[in-house]
Amino acid sequence: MAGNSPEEIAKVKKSFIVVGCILAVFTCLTVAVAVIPALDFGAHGFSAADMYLGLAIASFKATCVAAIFMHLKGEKPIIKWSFYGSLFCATTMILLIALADFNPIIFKGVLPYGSDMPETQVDQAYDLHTEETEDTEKH
Amino acid sequence: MEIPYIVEARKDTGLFNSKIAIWLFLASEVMLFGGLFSAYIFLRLGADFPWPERALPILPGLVNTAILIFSSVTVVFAWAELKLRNWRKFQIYMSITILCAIAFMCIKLPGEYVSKFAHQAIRMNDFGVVEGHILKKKVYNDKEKHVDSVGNYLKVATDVIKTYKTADKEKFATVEGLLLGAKVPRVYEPYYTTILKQAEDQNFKTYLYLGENKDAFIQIGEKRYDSSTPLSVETLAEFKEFFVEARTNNNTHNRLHLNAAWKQFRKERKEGKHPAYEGARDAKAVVAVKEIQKTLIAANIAKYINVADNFTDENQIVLPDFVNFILEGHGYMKFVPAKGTFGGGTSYITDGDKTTILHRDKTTVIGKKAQSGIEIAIDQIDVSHFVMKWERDDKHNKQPLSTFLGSVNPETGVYTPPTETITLFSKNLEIDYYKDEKEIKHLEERNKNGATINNIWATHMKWLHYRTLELAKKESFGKKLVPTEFEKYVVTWQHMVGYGKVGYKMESQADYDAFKKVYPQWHACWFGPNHKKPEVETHFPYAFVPREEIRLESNLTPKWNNYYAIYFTITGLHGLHVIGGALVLAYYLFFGRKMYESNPEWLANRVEVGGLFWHFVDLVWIFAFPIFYLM
Repeated sequence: MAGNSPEEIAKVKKSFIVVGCILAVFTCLTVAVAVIPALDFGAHGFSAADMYLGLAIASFKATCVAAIFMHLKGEKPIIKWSFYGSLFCATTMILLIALADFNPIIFKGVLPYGSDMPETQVDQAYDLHTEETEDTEKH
Repeated sequence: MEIPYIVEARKDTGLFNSKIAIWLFLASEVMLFGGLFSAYIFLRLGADFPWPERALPILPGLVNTAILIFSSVTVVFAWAELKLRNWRKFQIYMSITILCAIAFMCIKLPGEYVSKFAHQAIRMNDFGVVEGHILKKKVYNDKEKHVDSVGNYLKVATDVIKTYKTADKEKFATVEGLLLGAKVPRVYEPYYTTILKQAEDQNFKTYLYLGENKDAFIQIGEKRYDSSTPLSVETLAEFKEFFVEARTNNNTHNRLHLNAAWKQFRKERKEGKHPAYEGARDAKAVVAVKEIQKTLIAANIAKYINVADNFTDENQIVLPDFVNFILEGHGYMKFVPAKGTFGGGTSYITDGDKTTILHRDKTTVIGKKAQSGIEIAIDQIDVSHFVMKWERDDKHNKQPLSTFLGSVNPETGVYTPPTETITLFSKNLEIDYYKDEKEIKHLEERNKNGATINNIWATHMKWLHYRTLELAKKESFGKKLVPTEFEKYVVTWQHMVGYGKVGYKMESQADYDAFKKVYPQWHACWFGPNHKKPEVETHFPYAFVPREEIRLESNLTPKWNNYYAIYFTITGLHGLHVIGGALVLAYYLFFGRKMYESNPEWLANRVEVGGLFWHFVDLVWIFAFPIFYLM
């Protein structure tokens, strides 16, 4: 955080201009990788590579804004940690996507989705057909 | 009460209080928007329909991003100038910030949002999708076809009452009359005024209907209304006024009779004529209400109450809640929802079938819906939903996709049209019946180009052939490039315009190259397809989509799909933050002078806090822009 002297203020003003220019350049870059075919990474059209690149640029821009414009760089720890805490919560919410296919009712301790497990074992894990057939045989 | 530590920092935290407060608030905001972005990802990953990729015009989003970045710089400059005690420069920078906020909202609300509301999308029963703009025309005099954007129009004809119960044998029957049941106690003047205005414009005959008995009449005071009384707002107002009077009169008489009955009961009770009632009262037991009622009934006391209900006094006035009117004539009728009558007026339609429309206040409109559909200037043809359905549906899987969409021979480039026509490509959709003289010339020009849906699709399939060849020459990470699903199955407005400009000719590589030159690039459009530009508009085909072919029709709002739902949620909430932030900053600008003179550091602290909020608004947009516009 800048002090109150005119020299220090003049210094941070310069950094504001630099950050503003960085943000503008990276915004143009984000659009460029999305619309210019020559800069299209990964598969043709929108793909996972485009997503990671776009979000990486956005994260970098957001970091610049938070660190310089919002003076988070050099800020008191109490503020830093309250902000990091909220970021952690927000990130956790987004990472919950990993559980999108998890069903606690039929889950038996093995997570078959996306694994190399054979189909029969997947069926067992999800309790799909095996018990039904056993029951009918008993009767 | 003086708030401590608003200028100087607290010794324990090293911060002034409002700064801690704003950061805690921003922390909660991070979690709020984090949750919303998380919802976006969940919706997108779990979408059971082709998610619209890069569906929004990029240019307004890009301009808005630039505006927000610029305003972020100016707001910190304003704070820095305040620290340097330079009021004039502070004013300049803060003014620029607020102007940026206004510019942002101007692009967002009247620009982007309105263009979404004006854009129509239709999903047909077989999942073909068209997007475009509804053609709103005055078609009162056109007896064959008409435009219907919301399904509230009824077509009416001379053969009135007799045909009410006629079975709906033909899908496109155009007969039927209109019986309007006006709910007298709630007559809402604007509602009937709009109906009467339309009726008058179309030379309708409107009159009171009192059933089959032609001698029936309603007597109000000295006035007598029989079956030939014309429908007018004045008549309805008289009915309403009389109804209110009658109700007051009847209530007064009811009250008097209840009082008399009660007095009589009390007198009889004293005389010991109601022992059962007394028994229940004297038992002093806790008796349920129902039990008391039973006792009352047993004591035959209820008759005193019933006598009021069944009272037939000559002073009682009998008037039905509903008075029916006939509207007789050829034409169309739109029932305008009564605005600003929450819980009151006739308001919107709640239920209905082919012959009846029921309004919220129980006003019933009886007639028969005539041929009803949507006339649309198409600017996007989308078969990706159809393909999705085809992939999932075993029945369709028996036939190859080329049966429905046609195919191009990869060797020769010759196009084979589809053999099974889906609704989107059926001849029924194409229209050429514009009666408006101004439109005729326009229509001729369009037909000369042959801008029909089938023609466009055939050109698109051939374009896809050359596009595939072009991409096959390139590689990325060792894999040959192929067209995206979007390129394959969606014909965008830019494609339509491009195809039109090359005369729907796509027979060779040279035609393909010529198309690429005239194809409108992303920076050529502002808010999307412009239907007012003649050189663009002529390339959009017109279609009439019959209502029975429509699975869902909506403008590009949350109703259409989850993408627009989450788009409006996040950008709408962000827009509210922009407005709120700008109001706070404007307060500092316009009312901060006094504080600046008395305690400039306090104002600087306030501006810093407001600026922090403003940067957060920018921070959210930094993620919202690529997610909604570029992915």
